[in-house]
Amino acid sequence: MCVAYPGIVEKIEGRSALVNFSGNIVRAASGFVAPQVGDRVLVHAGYIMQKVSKSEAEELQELFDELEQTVADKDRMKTNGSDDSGRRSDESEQERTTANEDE
Amino acid sequence: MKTNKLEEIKYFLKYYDGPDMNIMEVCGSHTRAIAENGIPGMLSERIHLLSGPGCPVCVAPSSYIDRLIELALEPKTVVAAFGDLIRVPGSERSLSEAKGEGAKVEMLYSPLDMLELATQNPDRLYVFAAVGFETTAPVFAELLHRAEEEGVENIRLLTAIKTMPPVIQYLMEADAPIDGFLAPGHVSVITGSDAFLPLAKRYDIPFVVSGFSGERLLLALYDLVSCRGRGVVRNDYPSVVSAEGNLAAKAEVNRYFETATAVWRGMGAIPNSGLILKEKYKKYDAGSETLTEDKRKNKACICHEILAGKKKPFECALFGKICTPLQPQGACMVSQEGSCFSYYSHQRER
Repeated sequence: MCVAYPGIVEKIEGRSALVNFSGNIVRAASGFVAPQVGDRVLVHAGYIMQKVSKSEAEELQELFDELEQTVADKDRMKTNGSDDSGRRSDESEQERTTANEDE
Repeated sequence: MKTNKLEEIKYFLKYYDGPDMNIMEVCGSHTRAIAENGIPGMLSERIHLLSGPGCPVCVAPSSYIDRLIELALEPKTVVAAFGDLIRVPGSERSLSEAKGEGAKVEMLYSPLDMLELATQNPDRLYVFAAVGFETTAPVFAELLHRAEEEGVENIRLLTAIKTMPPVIQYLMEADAPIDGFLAPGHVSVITGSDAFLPLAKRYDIPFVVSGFSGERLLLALYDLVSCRGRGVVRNDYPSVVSAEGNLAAKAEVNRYFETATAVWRGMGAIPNSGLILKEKYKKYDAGSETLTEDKRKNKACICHEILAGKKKPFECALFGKICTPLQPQGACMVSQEGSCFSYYSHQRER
């Protein structure tokens, strides 16, 4: 039920926007995000929940790249016992971690 | 690089031989996406997926459905609802079945569509079945905002709005054997990923916010297994989820609603797990607060245990026999995001 779909904003009309979903135009409430024409947005039950900051492909690539870096740094840390590698590993991990316990 | 990493993740998840890892998803769309992408078959036997109370339609108590039917049968009252809700059984029947007796039921994509209906038919009272999690609460607030602005008086809400962190706490306090949560993607768009941090810390379990594609789910599961035993929150859906969530939407929800104890189908009353209209806006309420009774249509139905992660759908004696999507005995078999519906439709065996 929490299904939401991404679409492109075509027009703003007061507190609503016309959003294009692969050719289907749907009116959605836009008051919570103030989108601009051309923005990619996520729509649920007739309202825009959020702007989408990047495409699925771009985001996945970044997530995998970060993971690659984290794993590489951890491997290097294991091999070298290097303090520097350990710090870099933590930083890399922190990018995808919004919050964690005090470690 | 992505392909190689994905293959490594798949290999890791398939041949993981560490301690058993129970992962619960609490989002119906995740339940559905996990089945559609064949994820269970890609996991080691030591990684167990549990479907939690992530389908808001499935956790609405029977008295809520019964009240909607009563309203829809009242003269000049129309009940509007999301499509998922129409076939959910109350104590005796569903809204869909009641339509045959003259119940007036409109299926709408958005609650905002009800404003136009109410404006065009001022002699009728329109009641929206306001079911949902944090994801959907903002659109109900927007509906009330517009109704106030436009002076539309003939609308009401029958609320069964639930919030996710309190039910997760309920599960953990009930000693549910859970080692990590796949945090709900679209709920997190509104709440922010930090909403799960107190729970992660309190129970020393990881939460990973994920989107819905197969690749995203595999990445999130990899992260969860990698973080076993650590009280951390990871955001693997940063294109739409931030740490703090959608502040404007949350402010609008707080303007109209306040937290309250809510009754979850099969689980009973859970403190602070629901949203009800504030006193100032009670004129828009269609009698939500008295709806605490929860009867099972079929006594053998174990929806409540499935929602709590204690049993899997195929462990129910009714599953696939007298309980099917065409003849659901419990709410989990009704919604496309219900655990039983998903297991049945995709013939999941684990």
